[in-house]
Amino acid sequence: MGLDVENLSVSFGRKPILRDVGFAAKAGQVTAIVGPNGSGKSTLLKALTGEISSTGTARLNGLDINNTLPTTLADMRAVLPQSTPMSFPFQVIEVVRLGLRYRGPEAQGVARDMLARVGLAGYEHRLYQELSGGEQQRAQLARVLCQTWSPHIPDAPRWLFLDEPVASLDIAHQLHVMQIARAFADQGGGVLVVMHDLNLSAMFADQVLVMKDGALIANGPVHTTLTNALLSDVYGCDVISCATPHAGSWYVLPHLSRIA
Amino acid sequence: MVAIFAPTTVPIDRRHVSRWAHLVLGLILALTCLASLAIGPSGASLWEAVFRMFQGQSLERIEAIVLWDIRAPRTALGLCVGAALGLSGAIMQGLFRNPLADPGILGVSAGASLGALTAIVMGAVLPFGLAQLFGAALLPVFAFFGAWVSMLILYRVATRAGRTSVATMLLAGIVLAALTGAVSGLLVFRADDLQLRELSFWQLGSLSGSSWEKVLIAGPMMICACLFGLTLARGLNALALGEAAAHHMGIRVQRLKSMSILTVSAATGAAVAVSGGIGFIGIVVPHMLRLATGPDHQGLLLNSALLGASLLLAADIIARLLVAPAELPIGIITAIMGAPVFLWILLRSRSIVDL
Repeated sequence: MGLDVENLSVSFGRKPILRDVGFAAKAGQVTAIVGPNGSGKSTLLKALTGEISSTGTARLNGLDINNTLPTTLADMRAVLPQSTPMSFPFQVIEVVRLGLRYRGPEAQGVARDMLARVGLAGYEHRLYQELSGGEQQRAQLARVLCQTWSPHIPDAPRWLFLDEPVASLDIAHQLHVMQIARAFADQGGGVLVVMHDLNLSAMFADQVLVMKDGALIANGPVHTTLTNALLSDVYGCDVISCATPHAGSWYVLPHLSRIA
Repeated sequence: MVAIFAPTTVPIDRRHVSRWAHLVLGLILALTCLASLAIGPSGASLWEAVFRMFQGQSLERIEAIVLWDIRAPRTALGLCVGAALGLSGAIMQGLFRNPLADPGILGVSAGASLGALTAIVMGAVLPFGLAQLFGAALLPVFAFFGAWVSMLILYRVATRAGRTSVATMLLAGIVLAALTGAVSGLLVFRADDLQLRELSFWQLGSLSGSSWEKVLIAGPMMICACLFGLTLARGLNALALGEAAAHHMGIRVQRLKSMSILTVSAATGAAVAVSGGIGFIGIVVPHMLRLATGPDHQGLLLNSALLGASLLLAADIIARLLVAPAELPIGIITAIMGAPVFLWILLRSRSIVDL
């Protein structure tokens, strides 16, 4: 049970956007996708949600993503887009409630709990449009958590697909949101997250996928995969990573980097 | 740490408001129906007769004719048309994710108008004895046909590789309306004064000339479309987050779009065919309800149908009374009632429209 991708390719018209991407992600882990702007990270995520059609195979919990009904997919995974503008004046709690797939008695209070979990307790009856960008993003995360309210269906894991979930957040909320994702994985769910922040990726991810020009060029644990040489090549800029005296903590400082 | 409890009002869950609104609007609709049966230009007020009818007592012959053959079908038709227009407006706005969308965007009105015009101007020279075949129903049949054809063309234009682009549909709608308008212009050029007058009155809309025959033909179509339309609420809610997010949440987006368009076309096509061009119900009704009970389609769709029906019946009563024994076209009343209300909403809550 996991996410298995082989030879996945996407092209818009004649232009190839993704070329022969293949990897496996396991439930119980956080898998981060990193790479420069335009390297195909978001396209990869869109292909994996079934939002755009692709060639090759992508299986989630053994089901072919391109040939599975949206309802079945929605039972297994939820997706957080980069930003979600809404067209009508919904209240925050109403937005979160949209994520609920079951309206039984056990669903009572789930929306409120999830809103509290992302740190927006007390925001229930505010208008969504009146929230700041970061607050909107967290309200959407609460909606997504409602959709996958337990990290597993009886016999299979559920998945969170997050597209740059921390891009518009302050540092405390970045940590907070990443901890929510980490906890979801620790309870047995799978997390696939597109990231720009290498430090946060290193802190929270078990596995990191590095994309460049629509191809997957490295895949593995953070410390062995994100080498200076690889990062410098991928980003076209001298990136130097460091390690603190604490075992296993890895970081890059922009101060030490130089445009090549 | 000391928590400070500010005196706050308890926020209201808009779902409850929406459920109460079902009840209140249902009651209002029942009252409007009774009023529509009882009030009219026939001289004596028929309230008493209406009550006797509901108690199962016998009516005088003249009362029975006015109530049963004139007012009842008119009320039934007004009910269906109002509900169809209100509900279609709410569905369209949900589909286009725009609070200003209405069924007119689908080219329904322009197409229906061209159909009606064809029937009025060319009725006598139509091939295959169509005029004799349909008789008095020629105009509604042609209007319905016109509405559907224009909608199908739009749908085909906007659908590429199995995906309907809502933006293309909006633009193509404007183009198609212009084209239909030009063809209509040609027919108007050929029409004589009497035909022009008939057309103008048709375009202003009216429920006069309602008969049980019309109710039986157009009613079931509008009722079925409305009942089906009510099931689209969940999908339309998800669509408020965007097409991609709706897909992520398990909605079959393409199916939702085609079903919404078919439903709206059936409901408004039938409504326009029997009543002519009645504007503003589809825009004003959902908008007022959204201000009161929020944009959640679960309650909004039913409320829009209920309020749309009440408003149309009320407008019809006014249309009958104002210049009795003649009748005003109902489109004039809905526009006079609707336009200022709409302006007021725009001025008052600009932030809600500017999204």
